[in-house]
Amino acid sequence: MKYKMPKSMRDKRRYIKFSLDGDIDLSEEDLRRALWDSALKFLGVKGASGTHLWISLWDREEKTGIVRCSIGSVDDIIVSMKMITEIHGERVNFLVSDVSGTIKSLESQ
Amino acid sequence: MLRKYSAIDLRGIRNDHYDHVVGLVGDDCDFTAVMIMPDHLRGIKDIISNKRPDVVFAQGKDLSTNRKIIESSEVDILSRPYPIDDTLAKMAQRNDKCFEICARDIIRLKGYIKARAMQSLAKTIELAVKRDVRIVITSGARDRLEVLTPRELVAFGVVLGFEYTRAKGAISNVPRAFLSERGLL
Repeated sequence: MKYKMPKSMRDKRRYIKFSLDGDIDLSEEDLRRALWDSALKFLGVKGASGTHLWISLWDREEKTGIVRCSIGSVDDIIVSMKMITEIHGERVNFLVSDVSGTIKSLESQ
Repeated sequence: MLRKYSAIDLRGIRNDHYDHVVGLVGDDCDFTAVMIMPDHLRGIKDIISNKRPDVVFAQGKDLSTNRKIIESSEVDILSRPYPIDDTLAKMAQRNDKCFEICARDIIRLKGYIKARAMQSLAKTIELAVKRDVRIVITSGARDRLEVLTPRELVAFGVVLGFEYTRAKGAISNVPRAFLSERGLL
């Protein structure tokens, strides 16, 4: 059964559009692990649990993606993404280009 | 929340995200800057006359070094502005000095040192806001993989204790006014 909450009780979300700079072929699983490791390291277990971090979209070819988080933790997530400087020994750079309330408006940019 | 930021990076490398970029002497940038290390404060006049930079940064160390930098007429911006006390904040406001918060300095640190640096910067921001000292947020990028977008610099400001609007000002209005005062814009 699908878990449902009343609309008024649902958390507000923000979508962060980013691109990855670096000579690395990253799977979604590796990306998820890197993002969560960094968030846990930067914010701690309690802080990271409140971010509701989720990868909504990851294009492996284009190296662009969208992550979802709660409205109050946008800046925390952006900073924790910037703290990732290496994945599997390769230097990488996450570049956040936009933050929006819907995926549709991010894709129309 | 703004989509596109009209931003100026006061210490970085040239990239598409910023209208103007100030970089250290030798980097590819619109304007040049020089960073004075704490040990070279005595030879500051020689360094400036040799390199002729548009903007002069000086790296802070301890309270007495920071006081010397704030009293110095040659230095424009105090980089790594901690430790700072209320007296120094008032002096900085009187002498029209800027404090620089460099994202690269935070990213490169690890563990306990990073936590302490962020704690000190949060305290500096609190004092600077109270005493109306100008603060700029810079990327400090030296290559392509260290570049930060304006939205990321704003996020760093917010995480360190700025309000969103003030953090946005620290990458746009404040650097623009700073460069205009020096006749560079």
